[in-house]
Amino acid sequence: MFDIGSRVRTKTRHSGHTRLPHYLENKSGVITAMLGRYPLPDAVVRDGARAVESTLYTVAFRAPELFPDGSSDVVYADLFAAYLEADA
Amino acid sequence: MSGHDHERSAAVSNQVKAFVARLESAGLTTEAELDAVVERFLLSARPENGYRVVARAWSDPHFKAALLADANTAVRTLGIDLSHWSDVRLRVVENTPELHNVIVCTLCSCYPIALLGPSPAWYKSAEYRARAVRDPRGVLAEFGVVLPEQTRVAVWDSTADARYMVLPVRPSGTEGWSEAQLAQLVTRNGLIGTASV
Repeated sequence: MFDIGSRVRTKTRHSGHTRLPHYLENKSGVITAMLGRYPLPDAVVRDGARAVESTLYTVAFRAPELFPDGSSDVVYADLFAAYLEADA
Repeated sequence: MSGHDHERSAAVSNQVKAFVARLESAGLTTEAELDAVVERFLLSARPENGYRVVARAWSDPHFKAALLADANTAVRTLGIDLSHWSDVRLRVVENTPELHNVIVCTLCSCYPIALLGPSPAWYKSAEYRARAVRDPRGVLAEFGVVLPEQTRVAVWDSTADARYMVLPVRPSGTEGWSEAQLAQLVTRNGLIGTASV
């Protein structure tokens, strides 16, 4: 479980189905909301209705760190706990 | 739409046809029955739903606060049925003079169809999905929206079980307007963030 406001780091994508976008691999962000528990898509493709659930968070990323030549200020994405680890 | 997208959608469409044929041959459903389900769904999924939500939020500060806190519950009070989304969480993000929000689904084409109606082709295009998250100001300029430099831009990537709708800024000069009048100002692109209203 992560608290609102805590810093997290996204993991590296595994080779199977996942809802962690490429551009958000290995990036630091801040938890801004907890949306509840949902079946983990990475497990749904394998286990269907018996898939494990994972807590879904909204994570804010500083956009210039994602896209140095971009024009957004912040990017929010909804990411499962399984994609995140605590960031020091 | 790229050739690759086209080939992929043709392959999916063939898979769906084969699947429907199997269901029919097993006596589980008919094509007419499936068409009726889709038609009922699309009848209730209209951008006018989103326009009503925005007009109410502009008119009633209590509704607006409830909408931003728990959109599923708030839109239910307007009689808008989100039940076909089952567990999908609806979130409404508010534009202000200081912050402009843009919605995208970089992984596929997630979109609150019940409030916005069927999504426009550009929303599903590989180009919008790649560029909206990286260069939203450039994309917005192409839609005719030029933001003041001091306005911050937030991009919401609908990567999972939540769907997002933008609450645009109420235009000035609309004091005293009825909700029905206000609803007519709102556009579908305004609810995605690619128009100012």
